[in-house]
Amino acid sequence: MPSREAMIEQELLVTPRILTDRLTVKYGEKVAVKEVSLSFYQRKVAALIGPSGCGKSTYLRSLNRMNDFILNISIEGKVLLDGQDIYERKVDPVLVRRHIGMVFQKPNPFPKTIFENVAWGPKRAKFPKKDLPQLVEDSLKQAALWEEVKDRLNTSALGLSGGQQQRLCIARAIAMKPSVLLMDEPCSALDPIATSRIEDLIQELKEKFTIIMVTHNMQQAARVSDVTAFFLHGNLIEYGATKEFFTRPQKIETENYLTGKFG
Amino acid sequence: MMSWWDKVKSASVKTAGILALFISLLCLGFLLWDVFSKGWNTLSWDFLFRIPSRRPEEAGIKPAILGTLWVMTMTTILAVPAGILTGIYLEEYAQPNWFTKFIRINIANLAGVPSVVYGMLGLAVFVRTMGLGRSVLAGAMTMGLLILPTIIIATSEALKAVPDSIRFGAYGVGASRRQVIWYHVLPEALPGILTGIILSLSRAIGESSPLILIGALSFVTFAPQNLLDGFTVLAIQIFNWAGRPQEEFHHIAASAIIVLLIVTLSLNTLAIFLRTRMSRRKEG
Ligand SMILES: Nc1ncnc2c1ncn2[C@@H]1O[C@H](COP(=O)(O)OP(=O)(O)OP(=O)(O)O)[C@@H](O)[C@H]1O
Ligand SMILES: [Mg+2]
Repeated sequence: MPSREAMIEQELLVTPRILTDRLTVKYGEKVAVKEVSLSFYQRKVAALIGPSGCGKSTYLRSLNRMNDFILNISIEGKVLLDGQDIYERKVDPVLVRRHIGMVFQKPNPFPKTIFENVAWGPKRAKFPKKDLPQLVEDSLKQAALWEEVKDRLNTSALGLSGGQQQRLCIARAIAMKPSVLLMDEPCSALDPIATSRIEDLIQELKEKFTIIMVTHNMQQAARVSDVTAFFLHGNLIEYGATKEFFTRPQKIETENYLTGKFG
Repeated sequence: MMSWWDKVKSASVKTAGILALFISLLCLGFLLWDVFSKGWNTLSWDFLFRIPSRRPEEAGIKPAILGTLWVMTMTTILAVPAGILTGIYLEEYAQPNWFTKFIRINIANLAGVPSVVYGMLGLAVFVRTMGLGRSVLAGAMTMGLLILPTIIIATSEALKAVPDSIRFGAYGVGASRRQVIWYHVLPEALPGILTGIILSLSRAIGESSPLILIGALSFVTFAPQNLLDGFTVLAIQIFNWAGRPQEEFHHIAASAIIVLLIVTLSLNTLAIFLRTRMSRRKEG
């Protein structure tokens, strides 16, 4: 008889953490994402790839209601986080974003101190004040930034390098203890060394979070992800285990994209 | 390669620019020289603390200074919160539909309306209809209306300049709109907003026409005691003295101009200081 924890573990692995059911996103009349159904699981990194303009960012932003700020956008279909539709009327988008963190393409630390950057979100979520220093330390450690900044927590985050800023943004996101972490091309503004640090970091973070990342770098998708989804003109073309995906693509479009025939 | 014609064109534009700059500096220099040569000798600490008199050598600008303080303080209280809130509403809350656009365009137009027109409005509405008389309050309300559009525009420009990436970063960690505006957008925009406010106040201090129109007194030997008292301000005092036939009054008018210039230049310096501090923080 397996232990209760083990059963819950097992359960979490087979039930998707977050899924979309025929998700369609339109900007005015223009369809950017067309009936995409995808499931993402605990402790897995999913990579979304596809040519520029195929709707990857649009799809990603609709997973934590970041699209709410765009005018004329319309969203059909469902996004279920742990079985709850996040677009249901009674759901507060602010709470959704506390459960689903986001790291943006360009590092965007707040123009405040390093400490404030990490502590600000939890403070708003009524995290006990006396535990904040510990939380900040833990988050920075998880983001592999602690050693570099522990002596200057009270200096401006804008004094950090680009790679450090991006890791700070990751620390800021995980300080909220989200269950899902969305990353939109998190390394595109970084040099190869900073990129490989973030890739290592993603490997460690996936123990705790469901990670969904957009990337333009196919080697990166192959290196860090467990599953890969290929988008083309707003359609989901193929979704599968990364190894299979890159070695034996099922669809001709995928193969063409992987071999650089278009894109 | 530029053709010879292009070179001639660019050289002549450059020359014209330098010439224009030179002419305006020359005019400014002449004005300053005129004011200082006339007014410097009659300027003294005493001058600031005396009341106006029929004899120029005994006259001072105490009531004008206090009146200016009263009016500008009230103007600030009335116009600044309203202007900032309107700017925040337009930039952060209002749906960008035709109605909002219409309001924006009209605010921009209002900022360009000559100040006399505000004076006429103040006279008709505040002085007569509301029965406030030629009081500090009526003057401050008129001045408040005059600078309100500028403050709204300065606020919304400053808010617009805050990068969206900061807003999204804050929304991304589960902040509400109010929190995003209050903790991130406003602090970033504040130096810009303050700069706009200071510049508009500094302009209002030098304005005389709207207050003349609403009938602010020009010979006042007392400081206002409450909001419904009559008053005078520096600009009107200057206007009054400069219009008298005796040479001596022109000299003390020049002295008062120097005082007004010092106040305005200090305010503008403060605005420049805020602006450079803001841009330095953006870089660092
Ligand atoms: N705010 C918007 N308003 C209107 N159309 C938009 C908006 N944002 C994106 N689009 C359009 O939707 C489509 C998908 O855009 P999206 O940004 O999701 O693509 P992407 O796959 O992330 O591209 P990239 O790889 O270049 O980041 C594009 O055709 C784009 O022009
Ligand atoms: Mg994108």
